[in-house]
Amino acid sequence: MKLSQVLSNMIRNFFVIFGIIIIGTAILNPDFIFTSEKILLVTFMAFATDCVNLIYWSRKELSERERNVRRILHFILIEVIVLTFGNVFAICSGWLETIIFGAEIMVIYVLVCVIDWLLDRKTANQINEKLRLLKSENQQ
Amino acid sequence: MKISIETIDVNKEEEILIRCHEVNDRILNCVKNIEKQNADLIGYNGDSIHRLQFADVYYFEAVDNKVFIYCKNKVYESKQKLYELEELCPPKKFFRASKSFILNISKIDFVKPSLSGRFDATLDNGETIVVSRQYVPILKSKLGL
Repeated sequence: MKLSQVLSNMIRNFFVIFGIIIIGTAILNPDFIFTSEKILLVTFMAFATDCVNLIYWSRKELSERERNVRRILHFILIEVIVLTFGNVFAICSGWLETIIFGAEIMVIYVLVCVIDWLLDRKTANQINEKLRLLKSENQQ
Repeated sequence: MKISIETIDVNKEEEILIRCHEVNDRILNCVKNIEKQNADLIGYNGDSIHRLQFADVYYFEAVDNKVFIYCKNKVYESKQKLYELEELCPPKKFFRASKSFILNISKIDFVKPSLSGRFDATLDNGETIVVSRQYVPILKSKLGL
């Protein structure tokens, strides 16, 4: 992917992350008051989380191993950012709560990966079905 | 538009002559399409030069500024760039699978998602080529999905 495409995706993702945090907090924690300072913090968090995606960008095609290494790095950085801001927003405090929160983030991360894979499998099945059709048409 | 075909002697050179009122986009498109049909795919294997058919090609790969043409059992080098080959390839039959690969759709046996977030395309000859996520929509559209 070209860097310009990556950057345009990042701008889109930034607003998506920002929106999800604000709307999610408003729904799950209606008593939470968004001061200008907190909105600024959310902006920083969305920006930092978004920037982590740059880890996947490369001029050359990444090998399977390189991609998996980057995925692990991506996960670690996401954990660090979310846990840091979790402590700043007082979502968690102390070691135990931080570890539990970290485990929750890991579960969500794995779930997202599994959902992604299931959607990809559905796409692959559609493609395979079409390929089979094409081959049978060519044989006739 | 009237189309005439004239059979000529085998010793004479074949030619296509377009007689038109003006050279517009439609005519230029016709010329481009004819040129594509006549496009030769030349592969180099050591000192020998081979004329190849697109239908025999499994995939093109760019490695370190060199482009290779992979057929069932043989590999040839191409002097053309990958993007030039992409333009030459029959558009419905080939697609860009990643930064360095162009695949022949008819040679794909099946595709499956990989855990790294990409797709693996297994070809008739058993080889597996990585298909980048960003190019999957292109493959889907070429298959009419």
